[in-house]
Amino acid sequence: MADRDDDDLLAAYVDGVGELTADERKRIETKLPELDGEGTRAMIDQLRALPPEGNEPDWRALQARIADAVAVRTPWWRRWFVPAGALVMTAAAAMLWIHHTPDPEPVTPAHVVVIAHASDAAVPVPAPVAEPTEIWLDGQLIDVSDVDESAVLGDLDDPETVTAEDDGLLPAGDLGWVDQLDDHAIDRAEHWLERKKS
Amino acid sequence: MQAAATAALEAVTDVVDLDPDRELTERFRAGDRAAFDQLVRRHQQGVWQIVRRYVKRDADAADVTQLVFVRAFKGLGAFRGASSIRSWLYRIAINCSLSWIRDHRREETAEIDDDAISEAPAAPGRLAAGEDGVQLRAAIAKLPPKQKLVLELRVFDDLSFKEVAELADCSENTAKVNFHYAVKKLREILGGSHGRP
Repeated sequence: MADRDDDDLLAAYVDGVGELTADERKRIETKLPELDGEGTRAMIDQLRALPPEGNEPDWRALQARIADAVAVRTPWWRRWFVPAGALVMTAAAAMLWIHHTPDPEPVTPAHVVVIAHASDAAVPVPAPVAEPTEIWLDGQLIDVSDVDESAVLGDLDDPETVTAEDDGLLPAGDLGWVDQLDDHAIDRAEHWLERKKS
Repeated sequence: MQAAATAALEAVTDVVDLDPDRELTERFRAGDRAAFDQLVRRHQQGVWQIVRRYVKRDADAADVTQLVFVRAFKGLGAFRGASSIRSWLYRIAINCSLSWIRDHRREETAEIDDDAISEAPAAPGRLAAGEDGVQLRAAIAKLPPKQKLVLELRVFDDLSFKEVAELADCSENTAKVNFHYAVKKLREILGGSHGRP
């Protein structure tokens, strides 16, 4: 390999085999095994006799450091994930329970007298429980709670609808004459009613 | 003919199966964490020696070695087996070392300067104790980077030229030629003062 041509070819070979022809490449490759000559082997022996650089570390300590570095660590957010999740679920369950508990039945006083004041106008008054309304009429107890109020009062609201022809009564809207009756006239009217009843 | 081929294939398969690194890798992939610890024990010294040639302080070399194995741990699952585990680890070691040097260039230079000042009086004594070694190392340091890498991997790490070529990103023959040039250059450097062939 002392041949200068071979050295040039070797340099070209290292730079890239594209610079060599196929014959030159073949020539170099057949010479490659010869590169490991006597002098080379002596140098390699010298190099291998060199003590290693530096002082070797404590291998056990290094192994422990590596094992620690590759240990699977749970990230902080995952460590808190389970307790935080449990807390949220508990809170959610509590909220659901509170919202779905049925309200207690409202207590309605059976006999409460509500006195309406002007200041209480805005306060809603619970609707009174319907109770039978009975009146004593003509010796009979009559329940008038079922009577249509508009049907009864409608005529009163519209006095013109009641005419003198209705059972011979005077119009309801003109009852001022009652105040002008004297005692005698009243006695006569009562007497008339008594007679009509009997 | 076919039987012979089958037998040869089985023999090759047996060899592959017997590779402890492969077996440990498979065990690691199957979830056996202890397999990785065994890989560390098998290769920690080789990795440390490579790292130590680049990183000049023992403590830093240990740190980089740890980093190498942490990266290996993360990448071992995706290792496709195109090369041996050893050369794969050494590749990571070289990359981590170069990266460390790049990141700590300024500190390293300052420390070397400090060492040169503080240890200057002791230098003659050390040279006397191991003059050959010092001169050899100085000669290696003068080699072009690729020749130095090929020489060190081949001589100190005892890798095959195929593995050296993988790590040096070149063909096997180019690795051989680089190695040849490295040795030749060393002999030239040491020829005058060393007095050896």
